[in-house]
Amino acid sequence: MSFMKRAFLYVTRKKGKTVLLFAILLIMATFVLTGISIWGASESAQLGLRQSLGASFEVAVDWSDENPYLVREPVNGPENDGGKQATNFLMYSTKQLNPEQVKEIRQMEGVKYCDASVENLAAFEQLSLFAGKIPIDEDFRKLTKVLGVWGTEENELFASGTLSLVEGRHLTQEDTGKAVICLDLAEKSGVGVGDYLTTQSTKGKEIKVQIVGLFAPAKVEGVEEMVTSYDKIQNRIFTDLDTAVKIEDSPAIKGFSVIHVTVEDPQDMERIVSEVQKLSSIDWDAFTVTVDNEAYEKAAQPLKALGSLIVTLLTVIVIVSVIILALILTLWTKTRIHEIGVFLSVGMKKSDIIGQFLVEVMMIAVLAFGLSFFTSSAIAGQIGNQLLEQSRQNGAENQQQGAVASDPGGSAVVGGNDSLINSDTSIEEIQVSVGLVNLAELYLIGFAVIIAAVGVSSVTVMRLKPREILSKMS
Amino acid sequence: MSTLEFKNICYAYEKEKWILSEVSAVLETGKIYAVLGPSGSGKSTLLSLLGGLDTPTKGNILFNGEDILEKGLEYHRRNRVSLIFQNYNLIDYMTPLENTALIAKQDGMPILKRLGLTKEEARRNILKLSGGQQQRVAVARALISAASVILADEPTGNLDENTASELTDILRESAHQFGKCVVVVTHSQAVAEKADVVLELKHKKLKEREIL
Repeated sequence: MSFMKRAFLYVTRKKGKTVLLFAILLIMATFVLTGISIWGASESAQLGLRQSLGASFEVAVDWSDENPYLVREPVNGPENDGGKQATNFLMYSTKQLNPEQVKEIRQMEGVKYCDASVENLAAFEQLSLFAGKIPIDEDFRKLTKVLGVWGTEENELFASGTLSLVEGRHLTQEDTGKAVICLDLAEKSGVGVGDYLTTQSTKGKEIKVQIVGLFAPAKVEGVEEMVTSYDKIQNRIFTDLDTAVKIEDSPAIKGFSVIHVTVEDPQDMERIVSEVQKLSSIDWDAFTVTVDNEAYEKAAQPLKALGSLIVTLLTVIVIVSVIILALILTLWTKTRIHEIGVFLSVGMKKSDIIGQFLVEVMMIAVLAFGLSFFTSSAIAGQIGNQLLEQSRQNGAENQQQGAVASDPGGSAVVGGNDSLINSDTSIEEIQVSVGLVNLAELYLIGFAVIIAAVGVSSVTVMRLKPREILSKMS
Repeated sequence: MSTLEFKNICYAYEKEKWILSEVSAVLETGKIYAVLGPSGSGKSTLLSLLGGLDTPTKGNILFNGEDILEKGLEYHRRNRVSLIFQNYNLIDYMTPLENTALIAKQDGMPILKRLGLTKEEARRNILKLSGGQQQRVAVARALISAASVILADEPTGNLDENTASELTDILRESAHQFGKCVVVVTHSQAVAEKADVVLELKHKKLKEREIL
């Protein structure tokens, strides 16, 4: 008689033991499957978060004294009350970033957006600027911030949805003498797409730029918000690098001062930064890399805590399951010593006997694990979200204890350098569903637990000689 | 003709505590042997050694001239010998038919029927049979085996006189009609009387008793 048939006979005839073992395995399987499902949901949520939030780093001019290319030039400031002229300094680096370098970084695997820019101030004849709340000198009232960009589509303000193009087209790397301005400013100034704006370089040279697109901000600064007129988002002018260089018309602006790189998955951040730092086209004496992973880290913290908690729980459940199952099976194996003796006396191999014991538990486990699909489905979502809430609360407590300023709404600043860019990243709930893959994982883990438990429980008996077993029998 | 031979067997449970000393005999198929001796004389130990449940401290056991250790004790137990115990040693979650099927693929019903079990009894749980019926099942399991040697340890110990006599007759029949070598360890003179050869274990030695 095969060990499979013997196992079937045992399971079907020893109903009490079968039912008890079924209940034990069902409880264990429900815990394990619930844990696997919550862990899977937490991983999916983290992946979704990583993909939606991304993370970013900046390659920017090193403004410290360590940059050997830094130049400080004295410039004459306005006269003070005593009639003396103040001396200011213009500081710039002779090494700046060019479009080719931006392109090199953009082409790297895992890079989502590449936003290179350089800032300047300029006055445009045709524009009637919106007034700011902070009073400024007369000389500055007509000036607004001009951003020389690699392209507007990948600019972090556009990419984040803070600004959106409502008319015309985006600026591209091929553009020269083109601009994208705010729809509000265009309406206020009576200009539109296709019109030309006129400005002057710092050396008084006339420069014409054509409006190719209009943007609308998702929100504008509040009436009471303290902001200068040139910092107001409605007054912002986006132009190409060539135009920005022409407006400055000095060695201070010959290229981009900063490249803001957004990566697809924060997990790839280290690799991409490392690849960027290996670029030979960039002189690393003149530039620094600053990583900004804060938004993701902050938003993912409860999920990571949940993930670790579940892994710990799963480990404990699996170990406890092996111990409980091994203890029960050891006790039962000792009560089956008579049976083992009979099997050995008729020449059965020990492996054949262990095989029978293993199949018995497996047969019951197959049914128990299958049923656990339904019991886990019923409780996994609830338990998962309770654990997530617990992790969120623990995280908040830790942040308060660490005196770290936290955003009560769970929102995080993306990019870190522009307060206009906000995204709500709080994870209130995770969708836990028990899938067939989870069930397959349960079967793998469960069978491993059963093999370990049956192995442990059989060791003591199987080490005995047949005669010793038969002596114990009598 | 198969033979089971043991040569100069010695066995000690602990160092220097000998149970058997220089025990030798040749057992042949077609005969029933009775092994007599007082309790603790080593009868069951001898049977365990012949059955490959243990190994002698000294000496050899040969089956058809080959040391049983050569092919392994598991092989010996599976193919050459079958054991019958005083307490039947049946599997309690199986029927008589299933118990006989443990070691043989062939249908056990004819043998069970020959030993007096009905079809209904053959399909009943083993624990729902009387002691005599259970011992018949144990004998059936031994007979259905292809093994040429049947080793029985006090097979009639738990049975009433009539049933014990019937069982002894079945064992005799197994030896004489079916060519098995039957070795019965017993205290019973009635069983010994029906044996072809009576061996007596006394003072750690085995001697053949003359049958009158």
